[in-house]
Amino acid sequence: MTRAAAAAAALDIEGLKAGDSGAWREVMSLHGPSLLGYATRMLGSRTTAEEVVQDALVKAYKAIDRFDGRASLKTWMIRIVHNRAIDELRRNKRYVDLPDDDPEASYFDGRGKWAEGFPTPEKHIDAKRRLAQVREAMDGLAHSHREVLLLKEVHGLSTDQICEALEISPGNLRIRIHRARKALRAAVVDPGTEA
Amino acid sequence: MPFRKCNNVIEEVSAIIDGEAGAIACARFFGHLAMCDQCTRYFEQFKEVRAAAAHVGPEDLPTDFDHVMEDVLARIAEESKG
Repeated sequence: MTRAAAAAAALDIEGLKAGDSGAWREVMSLHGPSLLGYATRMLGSRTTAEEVVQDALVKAYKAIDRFDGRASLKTWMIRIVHNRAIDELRRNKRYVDLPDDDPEASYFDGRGKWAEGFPTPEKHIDAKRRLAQVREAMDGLAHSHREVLLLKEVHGLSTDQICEALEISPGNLRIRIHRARKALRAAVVDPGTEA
Repeated sequence: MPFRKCNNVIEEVSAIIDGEAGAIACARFFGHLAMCDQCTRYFEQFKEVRAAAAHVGPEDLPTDFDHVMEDVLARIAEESKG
């Protein structure tokens, strides 16, 4: 068991339910930065993300009696933060849902073979510059793509945890992950073709 | 010449990367790649971008969470009084 997993397992759920401030301080210390990191990437603003995470944590505090332990506490809190972040984006009409366009539609001819020039040959790029490209590309993706990539690739949640946090089925998640990765690859390697 | 259509093959990339494809699907996928330079190039790009995505987080994770935590605890204390 990793140190983080051991700390998560040792969290005092009864203390949280009893409103013990020490227990809450511990859970915020353990999961808070990760929640804030997720919200910041989703919202594109550290200030708004802090407000969203604060609201979400207060909501978690009020709803902790309903936490039944089926999901991990972290997954449960991510779901609250995620829902609050989506509310914020929708309220400001900034939420971008799944794009209809396939970023790779122009890659193939009518027989399903690669069209001339695709996939774009890549120049050698060092790891640091590639990371900067990926970060920028991720910030430009539709939120429905970004959320699954953040949870799976960045935060390392399992399929079950992501399905629980986003309230979607494993089949739906598989499709969304693949489309999101395609959109990210296109945005990094073939900028201009991405949806 | 690759037997399977390239546009169908690349739809299986995520399942292959995530270890969700069965043995037969893997054999067909990598069999196609062995004969198709473009699908191989695509697969390599896909893996590279995905690997880089895994590193987006840690560098960006905030370290100064204390003030957020203090604000939350203050709000909770306020609400408890009310």
